[in-house]
Amino acid sequence: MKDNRRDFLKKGASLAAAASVGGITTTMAGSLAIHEKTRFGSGTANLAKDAGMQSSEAYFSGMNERKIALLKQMDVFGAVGGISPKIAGTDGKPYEEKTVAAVKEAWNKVGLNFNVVEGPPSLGEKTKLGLEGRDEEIANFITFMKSLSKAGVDTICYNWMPVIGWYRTDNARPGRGGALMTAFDYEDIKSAPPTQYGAVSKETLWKNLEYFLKAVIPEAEKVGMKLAMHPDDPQVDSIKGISRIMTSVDNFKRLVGLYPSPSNGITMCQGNFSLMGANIPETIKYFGKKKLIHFVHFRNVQDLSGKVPSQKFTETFHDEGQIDMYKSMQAYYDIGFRGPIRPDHVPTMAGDSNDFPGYSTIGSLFAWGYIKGLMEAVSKSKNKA
Amino acid sequence: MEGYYEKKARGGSSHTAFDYEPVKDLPAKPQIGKFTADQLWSNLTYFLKAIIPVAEKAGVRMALHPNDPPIPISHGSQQIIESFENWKRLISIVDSPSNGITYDCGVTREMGEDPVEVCRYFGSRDRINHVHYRNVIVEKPYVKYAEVFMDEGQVNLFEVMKELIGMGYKYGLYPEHPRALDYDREQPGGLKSFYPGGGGYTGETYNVSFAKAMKLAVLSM
Repeated sequence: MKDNRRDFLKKGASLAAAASVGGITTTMAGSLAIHEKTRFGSGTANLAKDAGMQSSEAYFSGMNERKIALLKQMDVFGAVGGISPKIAGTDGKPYEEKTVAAVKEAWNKVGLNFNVVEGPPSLGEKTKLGLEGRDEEIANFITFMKSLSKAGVDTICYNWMPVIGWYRTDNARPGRGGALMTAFDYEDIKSAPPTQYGAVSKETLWKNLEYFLKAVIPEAEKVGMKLAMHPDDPQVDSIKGISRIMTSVDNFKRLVGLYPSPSNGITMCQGNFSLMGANIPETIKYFGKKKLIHFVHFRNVQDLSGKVPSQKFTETFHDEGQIDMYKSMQAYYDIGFRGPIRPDHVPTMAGDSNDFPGYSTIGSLFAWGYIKGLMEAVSKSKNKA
Repeated sequence: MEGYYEKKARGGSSHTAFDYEPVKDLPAKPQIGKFTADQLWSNLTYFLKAIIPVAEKAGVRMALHPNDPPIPISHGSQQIIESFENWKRLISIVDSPSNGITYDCGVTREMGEDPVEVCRYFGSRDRINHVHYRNVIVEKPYVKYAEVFMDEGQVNLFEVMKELIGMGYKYGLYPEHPRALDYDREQPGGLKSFYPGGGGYTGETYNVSFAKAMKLAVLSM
């Protein structure tokens, strides 16, 4: 622990520089230790706060003014999202330098630090299925990484789920006190007909992934880009004929072994890893020690199938699922994780709309109170020891 | 609500600030008049002696909330439950677990006291019957301070929770006084807070989950 702390202190200067990009003020000023004086009236992206992690929120439905205001009030200054031409205000390609720069600038203008691209452009079916035209897609992806790097963004959260991405069979499952949860039951879709792509094997997906990594990772290394593979969600065998491969810890070990590099990392999505049957704190430590956790989805779930991997589950409030949330936060702190962390898939609470299941505003706020509390608790308990 | 004012805070949220200076010399209210500390102590004693034996029998634990703000004089009347010393005096009037306090770590800090030490004093005597869990930044004890977000004040809420759980505290814990957030301001009819800079139910949501996280953290140690 002591070593991590020292490491953190040493990195202080460069972190401060990174955090001050785009008018995000910091109050780092030489004092990184968490003690009361530095905490007063922070109201800023003080990295000494939040256990040294970059508290971030997803903005998949765009630059929602109300949500931005609320998250700033929560002291959450990281913005995660895609590259939307609407945000950029240009008609350029989403991977081009000027488009990316415009998106970054748009976030700067509202006082947020656009720090992770989740759902990158130019990584689609051609690459994942190995179809004609994938080399062009990959070339554009490399251009995209360069554009991002120039704009000061260093993390890309991507996945290897072609055709069918995030999938739920119920977006309004009643949970605690009538809150609405998203849920999945494999039984409901097992007999669904295949897509136009027919059966896609695991071997094909692995082969295409390897092809992609070998082309992309060396370029990522050159521009300091961190790729963070998200687990398949849900992490089942296949959906509508399309196999899934990012479905077990062993397969993640295989992923990072395909091209060992600091740029070939993972998104620690606690929900999916837990549903794979993984012990979350141990898994954090495993990948954390290799410095391969580049992004965290701090969320909780409950398996309802009694099987490993889970065949039926529901998302839950942060304080009621199957994951040991304190030990997980402690594990991030212990491995010296300083990257972006966001809640994910929160219940829709009373007074909020279910228009974007999993992304209710009040639900996010509940998540943040919980996350901030855990962050403060781990840093205070550790600093005392 | 005299002396309280809204103070803009992070991201356009609000703190509830207090300043005693402009209100310390306010005149007595005609319908109330002026009371001395002795009179109030005498009335309180009369009340406790009548009530506490009955409360004991009925299994009720009384939890006197301290004066908030903890100022010495209000409208010419002396105040009595406004210092650590006087909280101690309160529980000595009738020595019973039914004669306890609402331990408010915010008020404790507003008086310049160490919330953990004060918590330990009453908790170890089994005299904490309710808890108000919140945070403040104090400029001058008793005189000038602001009620702030749970995650940014001077009260070490982690240590307070540790103390409470460590002593086996098992009664209510209310994470109170949410901050004013835009989300609540935008509700139909606006923010329905009864004090300046105070928030509504989404603000409460943040407080509740923060407190729950602290509880989990302490229980996990």
